[in-house]
Amino acid sequence: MTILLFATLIILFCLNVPIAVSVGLSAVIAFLVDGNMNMILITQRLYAGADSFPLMAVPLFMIAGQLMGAGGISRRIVTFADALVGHFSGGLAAVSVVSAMFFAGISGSAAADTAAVGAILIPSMVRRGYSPAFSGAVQAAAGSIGVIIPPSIPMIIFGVLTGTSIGKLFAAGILPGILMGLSLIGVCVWNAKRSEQHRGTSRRSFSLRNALTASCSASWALGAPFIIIGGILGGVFTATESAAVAVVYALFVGLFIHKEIHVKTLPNLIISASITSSVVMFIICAASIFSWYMAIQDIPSSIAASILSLTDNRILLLLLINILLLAAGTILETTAALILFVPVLTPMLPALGIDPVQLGAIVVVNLAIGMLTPPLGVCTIVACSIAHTRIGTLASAIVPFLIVLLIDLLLITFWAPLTTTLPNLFF
Amino acid sequence: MLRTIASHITTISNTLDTLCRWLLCICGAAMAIITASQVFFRYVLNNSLFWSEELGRVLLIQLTFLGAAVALKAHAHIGLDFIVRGLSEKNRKYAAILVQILSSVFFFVMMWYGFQFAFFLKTQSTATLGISRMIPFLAIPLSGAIMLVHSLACIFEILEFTSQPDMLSSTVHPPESHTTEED
Repeated sequence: MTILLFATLIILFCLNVPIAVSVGLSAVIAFLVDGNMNMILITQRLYAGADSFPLMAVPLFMIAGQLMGAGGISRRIVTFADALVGHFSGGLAAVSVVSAMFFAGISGSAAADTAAVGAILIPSMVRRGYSPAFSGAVQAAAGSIGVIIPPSIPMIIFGVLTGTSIGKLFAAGILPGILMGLSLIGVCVWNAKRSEQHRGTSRRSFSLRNALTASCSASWALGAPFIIIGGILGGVFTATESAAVAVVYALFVGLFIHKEIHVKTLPNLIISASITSSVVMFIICAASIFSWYMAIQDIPSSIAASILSLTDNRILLLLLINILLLAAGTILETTAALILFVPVLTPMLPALGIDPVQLGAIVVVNLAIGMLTPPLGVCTIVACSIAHTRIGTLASAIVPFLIVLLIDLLLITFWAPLTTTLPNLFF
Repeated sequence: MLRTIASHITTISNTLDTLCRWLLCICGAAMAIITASQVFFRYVLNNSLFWSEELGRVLLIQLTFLGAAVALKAHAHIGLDFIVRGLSEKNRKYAAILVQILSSVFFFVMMWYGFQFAFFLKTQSTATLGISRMIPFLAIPLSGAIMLVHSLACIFEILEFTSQPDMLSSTVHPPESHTTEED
């Protein structure tokens, strides 16, 4: 039955059936073959998949991100980042990483992060003489931080699946996100020094006055991450509530401070954010049928047991999990990967000897790297469409960034303080 | 004959889509307002709302399934298109039709068994809102029905019964995975 379930799933994926439908339909087929299952359960599981208070944060963060993009918040963040690191060699590429890090503090989605910052910076980078492939690669790699620095939709889903505190998971993402951002900036600077070609044209010295002016005009924009992250870490509100507060804040800033949102465009902004969230939510619902069926057949724990029978060395196990998740990330959409793999990983926690919060960070960082790797890497796809380049061209430009991110992943996997210090401090 | 049916189906599908988009907007806005006022009531008025969480979840379910239908119409659902992209144009057409037929099976299950379960829930009421549990659950069979209509309209489009040639290319190549070189 396990083989039938996964074989149908793979065939449907390959035919380009939408992921949510593939996952749901393969469960339907398993039900039909099984014979003991009432089809009504399918609809009941679909409903239960979305019937969750924490998941309300998904559309709310999407709406907040959309409003912040339209309200000029992302543009001000870019100006601020330019004043901070624009004077580096390879400055503009570093600006795109720093902007993506700040935007990651507002948005919970890597694709949204790549799109919001990339729409502004990829064309500027190309104009400044960077190749479209490199510009796209920087932005895609930087955008993946969107799901590491809180808020983070994959971490919300991980929290819902495992019952881990979402606040703790968010806190665990902060240091890894900063580490990844700094190492990407390192690659940008190294690339600029090596090729020399970008030097001189953009070279200027750091000006404190510039930085102060930029931070003043960006103060409302920079307030957003502090409200969201501070509110959750300080225990003022839940992740879902912080998302709603972020929507109100973005609306207020967009309508009354920056005056860049027109009331007329509001419905369309909400609709497009809701569509994006429905795509994620529909996958969650359909996958919850699939994972429920797997659970009653005891599939996840038997997969976990067979992995544990290979080795009980925790270092090997952690490496194995990383390889498994990276491979899954290349072809699976993040939400589907979470729902399929997390139930397999949680029974292994005692053998791994790590905190569930750290496991969450490891899983999400793996899947974030998976967003860069073709064939199904959402960040790469978004960056390609902005940079007007082919996935193949961009894929070779992304290799140095991938190598650095993989090193970061090893650090996050094997050095627990990186992920456990902040959650222990705040909770 | 088939052409008239096709044009009617397309009209129904477009009308349903417009309706869904408005409902989607209302759900999204209401969710934000209710959750934000939950915080406001707790900290400013010192009076926690008891019904806001459940209403929020009900709205989330409506948003999910209405949005899934809108996303289907907009070809916004994510799929793995790297194998299909390598096919000839004719085969890509067949593959697109096959995808719609397979998807319809799932949408039919949502609709058919969804209605059955909805009627089963008719007499039960929810914890804090006190409405029939059937009402929020109807989102699933209705969404299934709407998506069936959209799928059918899409098949007619692919078969070129309706004169929307540019819609075809977006069916075969979902817009978010456009990777062709411009200029």
